Amino acid sequence: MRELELDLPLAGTAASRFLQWIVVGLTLLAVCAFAVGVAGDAAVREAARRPAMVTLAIAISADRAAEAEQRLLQFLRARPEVLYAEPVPESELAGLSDPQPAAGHEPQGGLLLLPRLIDVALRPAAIADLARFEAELRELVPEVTVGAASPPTVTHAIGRIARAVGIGLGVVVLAVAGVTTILVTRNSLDRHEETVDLLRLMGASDRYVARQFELHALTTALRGAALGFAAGVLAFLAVVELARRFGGGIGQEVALRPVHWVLLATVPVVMVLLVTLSARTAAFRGLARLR
Amino acid sequence: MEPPDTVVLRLQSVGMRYDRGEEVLCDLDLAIKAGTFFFLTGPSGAGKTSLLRLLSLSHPPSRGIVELFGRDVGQLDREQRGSLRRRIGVVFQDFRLLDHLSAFDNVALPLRIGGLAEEQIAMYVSEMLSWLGLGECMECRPGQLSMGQRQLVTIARAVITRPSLLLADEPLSNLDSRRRKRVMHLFTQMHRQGTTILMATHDHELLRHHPFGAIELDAGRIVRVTEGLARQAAE
Repeated sequence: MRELELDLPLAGTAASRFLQWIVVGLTLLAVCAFAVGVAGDAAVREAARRPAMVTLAIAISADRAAEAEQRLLQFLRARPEVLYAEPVPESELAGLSDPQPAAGHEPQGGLLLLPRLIDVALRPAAIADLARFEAELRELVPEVTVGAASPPTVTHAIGRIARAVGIGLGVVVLAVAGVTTILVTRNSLDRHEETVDLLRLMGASDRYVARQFELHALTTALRGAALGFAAGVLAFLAVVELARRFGGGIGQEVALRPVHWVLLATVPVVMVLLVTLSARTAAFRGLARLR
Repeated sequence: MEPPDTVVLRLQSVGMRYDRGEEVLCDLDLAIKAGTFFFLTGPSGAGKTSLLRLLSLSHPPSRGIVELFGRDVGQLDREQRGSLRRRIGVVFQDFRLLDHLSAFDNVALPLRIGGLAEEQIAMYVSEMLSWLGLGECMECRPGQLSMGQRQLVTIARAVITRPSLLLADEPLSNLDSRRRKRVMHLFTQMHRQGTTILMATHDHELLRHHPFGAIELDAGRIVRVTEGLARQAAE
């Protein structure tokens, strides 16, 4: 690609030449970090869409149990937050309990009082107010208890960590890119002070000189960010593929949605804007410092 | 261009020093009217280049007042100094060409800074370089040019904007007689069109052949100012 010809020979400065490769490396890191972040976000959202399972237990005498169970089922099936409610069949109930009463506490008639159980699938949002849900059920049948909701899956927990770490790391990488550009621009300004003086002697304004740095940073960042983005996406896909093959199912959970790819595609754009603006700002400040 | 009889350049008790050294210019008092042409003469180390640096706003005075186009340059902010500098053309003794740019782009630089359209820049620069005999070298970098050609590129860059004030530091020193005549012809034409010119030179032949004024410097002080016709009559 033909170098942009500027009044200042910025492309010849060592620090400026490295800027392109610094941008490649930092874009690669930022893309990977944000890819981990959005993959974590995708996992969290997917886990949040899964229904939460709770089990209701009705510890009540056998003669009232059937009627209480029916009343609860009727109530539950009418509720919008309940996806389904099914009583656990008596055949399964027997298998769930293994009564071993202590000596002297054997039930009368030789039978244990087994609770009736109802499996309930709730919409994820309903989990937030499980206590109110239980209170409403107790108004119908005071003997009912609501078991703990199914705990968040491992994927959900890992997803949250990945989201926080990935996005945090990505932001740090972007900050590093900004700081690096400022340092490179300052260095270039010091090295080309004589040429800047000459341009000013011809009447060049600070805006004109800063534009030279801005244009150089823009073209450098465009090339660097494009290369870095391509490398970052390839690296991320390779890691996902390896995880699918050898990661014991972890990779199966990583599925980015189109919106996530769009978000990832903004990383090089943000990188280019950040590098360009940092160069412009550093140039203006540096020019104000020069006599 | 400034109207005739307007003072374009005024120095009042001006001194100048580099860093913390001794003053290289002392107690300069001078007023130059628009449209005049002065040679700046004196032995080496007299302060000719320092005075041109001072007037081109490359270096600030250590004391006194420098007025250009009626404005005290010490009171100007950076933007105002920039717009003032666009009215001044400077021929540097050491050329100060940008090595990474072609001869064409070096000459085009002040026009680009001034925001002229590229088509006009191409027209003006080509015309100027061709007139100076550099038509074949437009795309050459300074490193590929002879000293004389570099000198011509520097001159072309200084005059391409038709400045109101031209400051030239030994502009003919690297040129053969044919090119010297051509450049002096250019300067004379600019002078006739109203450009104020201050040209440092060692060349007494030049002074004899051109009816312009002279400012003589010695040890950083102005020792004599002679108007053009008076100088010729005296000689």
